[in-house]
Amino acid sequence: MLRYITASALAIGLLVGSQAAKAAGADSTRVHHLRLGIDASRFIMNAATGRQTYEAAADYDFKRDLSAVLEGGWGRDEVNYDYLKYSSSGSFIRLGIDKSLFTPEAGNDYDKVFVGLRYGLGLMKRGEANYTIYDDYWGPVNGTTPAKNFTAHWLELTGGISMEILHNVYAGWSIRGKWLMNKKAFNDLSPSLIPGYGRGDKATVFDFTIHLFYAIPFGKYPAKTAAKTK
Amino acid sequence: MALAVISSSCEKTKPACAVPLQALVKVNFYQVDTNGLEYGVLLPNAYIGAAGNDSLYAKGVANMGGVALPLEPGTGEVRFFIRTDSTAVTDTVRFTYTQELKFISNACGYTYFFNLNAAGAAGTAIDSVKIVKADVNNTSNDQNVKIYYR
Repeated sequence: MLRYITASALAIGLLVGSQAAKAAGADSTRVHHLRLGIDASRFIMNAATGRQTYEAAADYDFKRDLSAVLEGGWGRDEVNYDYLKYSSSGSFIRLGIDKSLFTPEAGNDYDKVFVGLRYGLGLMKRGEANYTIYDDYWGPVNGTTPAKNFTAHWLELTGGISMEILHNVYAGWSIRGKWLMNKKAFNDLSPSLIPGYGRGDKATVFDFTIHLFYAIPFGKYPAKTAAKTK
Repeated sequence: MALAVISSSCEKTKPACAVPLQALVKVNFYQVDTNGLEYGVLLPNAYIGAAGNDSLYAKGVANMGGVALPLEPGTGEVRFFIRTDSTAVTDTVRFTYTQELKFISNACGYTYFFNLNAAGAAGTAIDSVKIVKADVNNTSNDQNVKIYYR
């Protein structure tokens, strides 16, 4: 039994030691990256839904496994049902963090599988709405609801992958769950689209991104940081 | 397929409205016996119409024990003509009410809810009209009005 425990401890020690050596070696050549990119899935969805949404993103790996993320964009949508017609437009930012789940195999390996958290803030305007109330006996009644401004706050959990497909060019995808934090503000006639979030009448939505990034090297990791990390 | 599954936030199809939109006044017909106890009655062949509308709302409906009547938006008052059968005398039931514009959902749009202020009757067959629940909305099946026949 004692021999088994000793062997296991030795094996774990060797594994940790080799990982630390690999990480230290990796960090000696590793540089920070500022990545700038777009969400290409929006173009697909714009074509599929008739909505217009555009989204750009930037992230910066301030640690080997942690990146600060800033995303932003703009969107517009029209509701054109026979009983309700209005437009919505607005812009948004998302701030958050991504954590890489795996240790890079080499210093210049920036591929990652990640999970992340976002806070989203959207400012939008729902335009004047024209409605028709259908009444089989008395006939239809038409009316107008004045335009209104909205502010949306939401949280997102995300996970995905990112891989270098060309030198300093990265592609990948993520899936996202989004939770609207101030749903009550959207109980009346809400914007049909909260840019960056999704449908304005849903408290929870699921979404995906297909991102393309260009990475700008932004200075080497300090040796002290390299020694401390994993 | 995968995109369709995970893109619920981007889905844009004309949504289906799953709730009844129109708020109708739920009316039932009664008589009161000699002991003062009320009981439901059936109109044998009911004809119902409204002032200001050329269409009949009910035309020869057999054994009608109740009816859901539409209030006219924007007027605050409506008069319904009720005959128990095709040869019977015509009675008039009058409702006065206020209305409130109500947003239901993006799928359903807007509708009107009403609040009954007063109800009355004129004619020979109907004795009286009683409001039992003034709030007329699209979510409740509760009775709003009792019409008592002589």
